[in-house]
Amino acid sequence: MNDHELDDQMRHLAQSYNEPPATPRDAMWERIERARRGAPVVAIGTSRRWRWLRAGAGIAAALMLGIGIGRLSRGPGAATSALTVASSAHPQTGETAAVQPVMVAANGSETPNEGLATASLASTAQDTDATNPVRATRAERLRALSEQRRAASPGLAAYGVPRGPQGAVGEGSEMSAYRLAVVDHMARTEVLLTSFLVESRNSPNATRAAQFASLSRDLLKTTRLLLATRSTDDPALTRLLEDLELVLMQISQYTSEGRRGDLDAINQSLDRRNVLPKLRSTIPAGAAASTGI
Amino acid sequence: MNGERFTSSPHPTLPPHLVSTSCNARHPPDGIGDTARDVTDQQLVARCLAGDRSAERALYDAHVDRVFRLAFRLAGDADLAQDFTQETFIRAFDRLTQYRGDASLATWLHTIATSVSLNGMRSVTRLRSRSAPMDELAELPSRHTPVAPHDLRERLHAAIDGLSAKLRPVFVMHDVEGYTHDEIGTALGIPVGTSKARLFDARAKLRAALALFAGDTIS
Repeated sequence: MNDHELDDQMRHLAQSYNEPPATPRDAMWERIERARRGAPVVAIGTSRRWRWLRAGAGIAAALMLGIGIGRLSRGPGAATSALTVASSAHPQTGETAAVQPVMVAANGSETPNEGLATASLASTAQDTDATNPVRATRAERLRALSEQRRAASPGLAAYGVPRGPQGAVGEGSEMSAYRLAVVDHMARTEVLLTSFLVESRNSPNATRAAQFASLSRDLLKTTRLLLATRSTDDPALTRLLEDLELVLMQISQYTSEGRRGDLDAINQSLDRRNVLPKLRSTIPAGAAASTGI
Repeated sequence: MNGERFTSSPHPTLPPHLVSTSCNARHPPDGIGDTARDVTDQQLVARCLAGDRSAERALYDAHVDRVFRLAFRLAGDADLAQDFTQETFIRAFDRLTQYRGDASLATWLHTIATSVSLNGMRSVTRLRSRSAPMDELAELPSRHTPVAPHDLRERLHAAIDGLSAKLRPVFVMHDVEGYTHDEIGTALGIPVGTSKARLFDARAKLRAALALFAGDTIS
């Protein structure tokens, strides 16, 4: 048998190679239609990234809106505003509308443990004092309490609680928005830093490192935005935000394949600057939960 | 070459033995009329892009047989072939806007089908190679199992399976499914000359694998 004959024989016999059965047209078409109707699959990493981006955009939008409203509604002689952490519901009295200023102490001598602490602004109540006698009384009480506390612990450095030159407690919706943005941002940053520390102790993971870097970049943008838009001169808050900027920048450039020294530098920054304790003392209880973390 | 064998086919891209399954010879099951069957590729694509679901079904019916045949020939498994065929049409419908009409719709579809099938087979081979040790233990030849098939047909099939990933698709597409070298070149993204060279190599290897056996048996 020569090559030609063998080729012909091969071609003939090859027709039965993996001989296909009848095409299951309808079954396949059903599955194709089902697949095409189905929702597109989104990669988890992408979804998470977009969620953080949306959150960042939301914070920025709230910040800008608050500043805008504040600028519009602010009177010419208004005192420089300051923020306060206030409870929205007092556990004993059940006053849901009560505004209870609590200064968050840096040295831990006072903590926002009087009821559920949420970010609020005493001046919100103050703005309506003229028309509401109950609120007027309450506002006076607030001011008195605030003065009393300030006198009792003059050395308090309220992280994240910018204080005006006269020590006035939160006035103006501009500061309310700013305060909300700061608390929300710090809650997110604290979650990120804690997660990063835990993960960095485990074996390095390139995917995780990339996710942390991406989230850090988002938070870094917000940190810089907060630094750039702060309207009161609070050195403690400025210092904390600058520390955060440094740490977040380090994490954003960290890769799992990188030098061990990079991770040590991040840990040193966190330790030397006492970033996490400062953050935790700044964030009022329940703020993390309210941010959806 | 073999491309000339199909010049008598009423369908320019199909060998005679496949024409009976082509779009023009089949009535779509959902009652699409003659006008729908006679439309050109461009018209069919335009209707699909306009959201005409009957046109999508017509396109599917026109090409599914040949796509499925190719997928099955390459995969050798009904489930895999169905998966590859479905994936081919899902991708085709998703990317229909990218079809510019430079080549025929069949060629375009078979390019997708070949890519999906070969990539799919690569993944399957990788997975199988990971579980190979256990499989091999189960299939160790014993005194009662023949070392090689005694039938020339089986021997040939085993030899085709043993062709390299570059040679096997060309041999299957050309000698088994009757594609021309032009179509193979387009589908695999290789020049026509390379397709011819690979077919030559594949046939030589198969001849070598069968030579002694064929000499004993056929004569």
